[in-house]
Amino acid sequence: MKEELSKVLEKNEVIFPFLDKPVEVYKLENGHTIIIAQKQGELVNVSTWVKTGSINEDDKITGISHFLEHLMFKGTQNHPAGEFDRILEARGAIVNAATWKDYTFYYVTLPKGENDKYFKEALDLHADMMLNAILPEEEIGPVFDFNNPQVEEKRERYVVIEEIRMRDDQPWTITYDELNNLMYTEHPYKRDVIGTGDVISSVPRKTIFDYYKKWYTPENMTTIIVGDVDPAQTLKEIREKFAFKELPASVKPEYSPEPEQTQPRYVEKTGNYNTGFLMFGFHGPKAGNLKDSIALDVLSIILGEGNSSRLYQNLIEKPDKPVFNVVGTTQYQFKDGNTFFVQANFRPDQKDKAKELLRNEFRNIVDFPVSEEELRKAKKKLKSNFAEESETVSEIGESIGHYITICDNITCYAEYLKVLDTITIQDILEAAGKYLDLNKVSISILLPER
Amino acid sequence: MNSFDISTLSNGIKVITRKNKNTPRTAVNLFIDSGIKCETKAGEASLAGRLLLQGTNTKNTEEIAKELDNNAIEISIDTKQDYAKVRTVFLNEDFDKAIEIFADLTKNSTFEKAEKESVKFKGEIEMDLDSPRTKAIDNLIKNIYPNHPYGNTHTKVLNDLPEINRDLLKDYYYSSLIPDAMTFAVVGDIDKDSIISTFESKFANIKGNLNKCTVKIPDAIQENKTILIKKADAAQAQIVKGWIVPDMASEDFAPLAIFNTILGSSGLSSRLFVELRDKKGLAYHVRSTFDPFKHSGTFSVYIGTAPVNINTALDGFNTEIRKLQEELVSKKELEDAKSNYLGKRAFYHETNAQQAHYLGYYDIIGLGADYDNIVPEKIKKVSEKDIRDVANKYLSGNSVISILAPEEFLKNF
Repeated sequence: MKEELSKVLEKNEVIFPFLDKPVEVYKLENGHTIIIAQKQGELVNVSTWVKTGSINEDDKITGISHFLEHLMFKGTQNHPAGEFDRILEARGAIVNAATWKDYTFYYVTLPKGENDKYFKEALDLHADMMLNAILPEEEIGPVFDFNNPQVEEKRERYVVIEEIRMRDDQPWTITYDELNNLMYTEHPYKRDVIGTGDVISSVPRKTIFDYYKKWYTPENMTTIIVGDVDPAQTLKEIREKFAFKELPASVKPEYSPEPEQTQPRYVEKTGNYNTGFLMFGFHGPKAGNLKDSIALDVLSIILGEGNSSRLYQNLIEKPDKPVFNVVGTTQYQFKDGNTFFVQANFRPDQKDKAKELLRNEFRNIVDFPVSEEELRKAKKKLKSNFAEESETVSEIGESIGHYITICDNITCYAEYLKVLDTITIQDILEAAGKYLDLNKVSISILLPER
Repeated sequence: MNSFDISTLSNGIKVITRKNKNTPRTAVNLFIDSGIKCETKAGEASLAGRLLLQGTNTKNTEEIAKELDNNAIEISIDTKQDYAKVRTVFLNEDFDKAIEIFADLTKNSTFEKAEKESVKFKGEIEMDLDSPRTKAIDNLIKNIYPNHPYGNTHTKVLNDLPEINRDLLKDYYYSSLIPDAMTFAVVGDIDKDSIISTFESKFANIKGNLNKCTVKIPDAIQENKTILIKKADAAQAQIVKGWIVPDMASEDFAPLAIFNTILGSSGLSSRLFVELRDKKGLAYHVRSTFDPFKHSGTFSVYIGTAPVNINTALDGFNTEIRKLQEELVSKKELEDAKSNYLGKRAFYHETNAQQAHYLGYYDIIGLGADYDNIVPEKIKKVSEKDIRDVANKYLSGNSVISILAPEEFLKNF
């Protein structure tokens, strides 16, 4: 008997910047969200975003979201390990996945083929992987003692441990991880997404499989298609292929709130380096607080993005002997609270001066308020960023997936430019006062050993 | 992909244009036939490129930065082995403004801030070399090309920077800014006539015909070499092994490209990925790379793995290469690799900036913009035997191995 397809409960059409046709957003009865964005061209991007990442981990399972992401490629009852990659890469596909604090996503970008042949094949394989992963024990590899790794069968556990090792050699990653650890005391964002060798070497398959079944539910998934496709036909095929057999009650997690930071925090490490690495971190608004979030995006451009930015001009371009080799700012957007960063590389004998110069720039936001020219520049840059993203099916898919996952609805992306237009100098000053308080800064520094 | 037109300005500069309707941003690439191959001191090309953003006859560094950022006009300069590429991307509405700035920077840069820029450049290189992988690859390339500018890597630049001054840089840059050595590639939603008329007014006054750059063919690798870099606290060993292979125009380009796809560049299904990562759990990152230049090329294999695995990883490289030297690949693996290569071309030609890159690149290295359309035909003709032949012909000879690891793991090399 043919299974009944999950009904479409809601359909919305959303106008997206620089796309010719409205993006179609469907909510199915089983909770699955489907988004179809039409874009002319030979390529199509297929992705599914799952609302789980390190936010849903504790110390016993730290890194499990990312480990599961690796294991999702290890086959289903229909396709043994490796077949998914082989078939799709033989069509010219780029196949990969990524895990972050709020989400895990899986994507395929490939030429759609004659009569959409390759697109249909990719959708079929992608849906099978998302719904029917079997996480075979032999691909995971045996459990071992991480401190005494006597093991012959080095399988995916070892691949992830090599990824951890790789990150241990990356100075920016070390600086960021230390900062992240410093910024959070309670909230699960405090854990590194990659996890620890102790957990990865010992977590049993059952724990991973249970985690998969718990979080990879239709309500937690958004499937996004971007390309020159027939929306009605595509919707039908996704509903057919994503035929969830089990509909477990969706878990509504509650996360320990992060106590307000009341004073500066500082961590310093040393290693075998020639230069100094530094990050300042501030807690920002929740990603869904669009106005404050955009005000900080604007401020980030003014402070530290591009050669005309304040930090670049004042700290690198104008001084005769700059303390800094590189300096910039950025905002990471998270569902439960963004983080605003300064990232700098500096001459290691100038550590104290480097910190003070950066602090001064934050004080200057009040003393030398943002000018109309700076505001205009930042708005134009953000508008141009949307134009850039609209150039590739992958970036369109990634932007939609990112925003719908961290904001829980599509408006964060669709409304962004409208809200941006309303941002004033006063909004920026208020956001800076609220979030970029030097009494609540966390600072992470990595220095050469002396 | 849409077709393209080739026009010539009155002074002989070639302008390749492709119109892609309904695209919000336009890409303009100026390719100059110079790059690292023309350096007399390592770092000249990069430093000259950086100085294009540091002041002209009428604008200082800050004014240039503001004018670009205020209009969201991206300009960057890439210097590679065989060319310098001045690249700009901007919203279509800013075409006139962008070209005006672009012309000013490329024609009127003063290079006055050479000394300051050299200090900034040195700092950035030192930061880059704090990455163990960068350091290992740096040592590989400079040892593959010890007596040729193609080997002018970061560490050589650090050595030569004190000897580079403003006069040297001005001479280096302006001696190759001549019509014969320049090709523009413009891709976006702008009419050809409008582009040509604007470019004629901005660039037709560039004169000169003496390109001082002479390039010799790099020597073969004289003997097998293993370069060791000690790093006490390295969590992983960085291992990279390289060979010299033929240039971009060689008949062996297409077989080598497919050999590379099969061995280690197709993504998750390449032989190195499946055998060394999936089956042996040796690494997160393992791959092969084929870099063809105008006068030579390199082929390399890379892995980052626990230091205890150095020998296993090197054996793994040798085993997988030997298999391809001794056994013919199956028809299916060959056809899958060709489809992989050709399918990915679409991915690498998706944006206006990417398309402008390939049109200009093939032209400046002397193969013609149309070569971008010829590559697929060459790929389709590759046979199983071609793969085995190039594996034997180029990967049986001398090689350079660069290994970075804690000292105790390097004692047996």
